[in-house]
Amino acid sequence: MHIKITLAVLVAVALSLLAVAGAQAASFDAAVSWTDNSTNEEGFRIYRNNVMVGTTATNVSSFTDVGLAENTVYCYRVGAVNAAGETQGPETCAATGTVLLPPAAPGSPTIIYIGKP
Amino acid sequence: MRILLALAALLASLPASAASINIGQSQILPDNSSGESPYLNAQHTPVPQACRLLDLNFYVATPRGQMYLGVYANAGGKPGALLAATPIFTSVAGWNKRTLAAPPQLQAGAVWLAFHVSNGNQVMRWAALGQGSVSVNRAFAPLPANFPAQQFPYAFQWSYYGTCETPPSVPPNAAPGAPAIQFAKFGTMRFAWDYGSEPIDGFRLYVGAGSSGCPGGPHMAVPAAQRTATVTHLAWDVTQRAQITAVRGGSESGCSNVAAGKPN
Repeated sequence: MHIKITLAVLVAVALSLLAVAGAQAASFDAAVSWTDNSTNEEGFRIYRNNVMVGTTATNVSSFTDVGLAENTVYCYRVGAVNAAGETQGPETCAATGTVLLPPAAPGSPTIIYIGKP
Repeated sequence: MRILLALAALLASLPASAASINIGQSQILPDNSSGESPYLNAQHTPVPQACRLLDLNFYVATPRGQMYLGVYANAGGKPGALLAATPIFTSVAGWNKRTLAAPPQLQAGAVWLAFHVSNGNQVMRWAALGQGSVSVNRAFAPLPANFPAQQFPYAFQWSYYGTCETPPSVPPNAAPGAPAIQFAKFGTMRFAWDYGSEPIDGFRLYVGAGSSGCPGGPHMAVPAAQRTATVTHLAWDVTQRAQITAVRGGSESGCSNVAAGKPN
């Protein structure tokens, strides 16, 4: 009985979800993929702008890098690794998109002269 | 000359095969050993370099009954935690080779190769070698996760070894290709709601493209005192629909009205 009352009250008190309070800044994920050319690697290291941001296991040739900023150039490079060392491949660079906000509307025009020229 | 160049290119393209070493006693030792039931034995085994233990090999002169094999870490000169073990098997005459399902990575130093036999009439081979072994009185059963503390030492070791794969000696033989990059854009949305003062456990905020999923779908739990929530990683420029419910004691209210918007 108590549960029924509780449910009734909860349903009766209508939850009012307000309109979205406002969109925030965009972020980007990068899906990075490469060709596995080696036969004796034990995994891969993924570098973004020469800083290692992740690793994958043997024969796994894709990686998702998250939380990137807009309007920024990111350069990726992948290294094949095993216990004896690392062999790096070439670098690829790409830019995240730009969000162009419309400019603020100008104020209402003011009539400053009426008459014959 | 052309043949030599082709041969050199072929050799360069071959994968660098990992080498392997034997750890333990891989020779057939001279003396017979029996009466090893009901004992769990482990023999001290040096590991000269880091390697991955692939299999265990135990020599039986006269097989009787069943066996377990395993390897224990070295803990202060005694066997410690179990690193890998074989399922039970029926022994045969000669080398009993068992491949490890989960080969453990060994560091340079030492491990303890362990075995347990079900029948004391099984005849094995041993000799007084190395740093000997330790033994505990224990009924025949799968090897314990930690080697029992009540051990007594033997000066002997059995014909028992493991094959350990050493790391490749050359780095990866080809560089990965240039990466392809595909960006996906995400946005963050902030939601706000009203609710009275009735005590509740919290809210459930449902957000999804097409449908909010309310009720029953994936949701974000929000504390009762909160009246706003921020949801991140929403697909950019895709209309998101949100609904919210109140929760108390495992009961959930009906869904609120739908709030829709795009993170753009």
